[in-house]
Amino acid sequence: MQNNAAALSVSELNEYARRLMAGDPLLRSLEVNGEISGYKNHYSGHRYFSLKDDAARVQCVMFRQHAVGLDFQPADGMRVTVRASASIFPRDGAFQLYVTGMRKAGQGDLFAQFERLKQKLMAEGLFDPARKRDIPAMPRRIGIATSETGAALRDIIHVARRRNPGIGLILAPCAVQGEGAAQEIVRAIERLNRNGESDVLLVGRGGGSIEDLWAFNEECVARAIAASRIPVISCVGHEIDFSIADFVADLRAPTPSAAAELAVPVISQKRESLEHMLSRLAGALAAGQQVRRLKLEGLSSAGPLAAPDRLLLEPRRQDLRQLDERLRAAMPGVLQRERNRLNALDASLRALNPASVLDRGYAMVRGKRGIVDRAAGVSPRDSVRIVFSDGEVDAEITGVQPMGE
Amino acid sequence: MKKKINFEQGMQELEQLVQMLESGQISLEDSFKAYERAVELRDSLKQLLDESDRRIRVLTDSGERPLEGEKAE
Repeated sequence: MQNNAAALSVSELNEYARRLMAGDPLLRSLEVNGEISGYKNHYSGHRYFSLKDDAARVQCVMFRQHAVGLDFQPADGMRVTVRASASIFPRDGAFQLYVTGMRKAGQGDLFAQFERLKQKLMAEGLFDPARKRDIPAMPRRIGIATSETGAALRDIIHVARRRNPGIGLILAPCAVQGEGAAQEIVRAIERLNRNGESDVLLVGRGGGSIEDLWAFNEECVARAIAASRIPVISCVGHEIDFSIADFVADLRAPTPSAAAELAVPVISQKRESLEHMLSRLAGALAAGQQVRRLKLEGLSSAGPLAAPDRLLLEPRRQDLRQLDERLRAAMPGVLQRERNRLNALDASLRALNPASVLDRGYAMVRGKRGIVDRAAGVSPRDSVRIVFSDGEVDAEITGVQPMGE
Repeated sequence: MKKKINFEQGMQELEQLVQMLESGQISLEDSFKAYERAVELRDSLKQLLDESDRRIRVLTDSGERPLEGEKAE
């Protein structure tokens, strides 16, 4: 046979095949079921074995960095599901699986079960965003359904107390893994609902294997969360773990600590925002009074400053005195409450008196034609009278500088 | 007995009152009412912030008890 220039070298062939497979989306990432055979622990930490079924086998390698994540010791004859990419090892022209993860067979059933229940509950509308309730912004008590001895409870208590030392915590203890755990979680959620003192519920546990977390994928737990009258924040396992409970809950937190952060506001921040609002309130009262004062002055170009006080405030003072007298006759409890209201009303009345503006350091200027409210209203050598809260002074204008000139 | 207010709602109402007063566009009479209501809200909101229930209670099927030692393993 002629040496054909178009012929490939073996290296080229194997490299071509490797690239072809690397470009295939299925081969790049797939799961394969099979039985382990010829399992070897190499001193380098890499694992070499075959996967086989009744009719075929494929070579597998699991490199050390992936093998350290194994949560069981693989052995010949074991039925497993591997996560892998399929490719060719160019040196040997060997088709093989590069395994990145492995689990015992049977767990695959759990995944199928998970998907089935998820689809079923989704079809029922249990995951609808419209069903999700708001988490109260300022809860007084937090209900917790988790294990009394778990790390999750410690984390929740720690975070919740740090954010609000006065927060009330009600624990409904329950097993969170193993036989009967799902039923215990359901009873804990029901107990917290019957008690009714919590404003929000945290339901969950710390991280663990998929079997450990399984109770939170049970239908009865999902239904108990959906039926809870109190909004529920789920927190099952770590960031990457998703449970059926997470889909049904009003809010999903990635961890128990995060759930406590979502549920409990930092009390000092709330205090600050209230204080801020109250200082705006004080400012608003002063500003509103200023606007009204200007209006009144416009109305009473000739009248003295006391006129609006007499006109507007005096009749109200009389009303108040009459109300006060009627209250004196009423029962003592009512009296006290009404008196408090009265005091508040009286205080605001005083605050709104135009004369009190002068007490705060403002002064009013009166000229020949009444109140002077702009620089253009006077000319040099005009005589004016400046009104303070405690008296008046006469002055003469020595110069006028209109603003912006 | 007045209905207990919720913190966020109370803050919202207070904010509306403040905006109304800031505008200066309401009558003297209405500003008295607004101020009175604002004082009422302030007291309820402060009370909500000061409420404190430091205990950790444990609800079991057979009743209520405090958390054991409050110091888990």
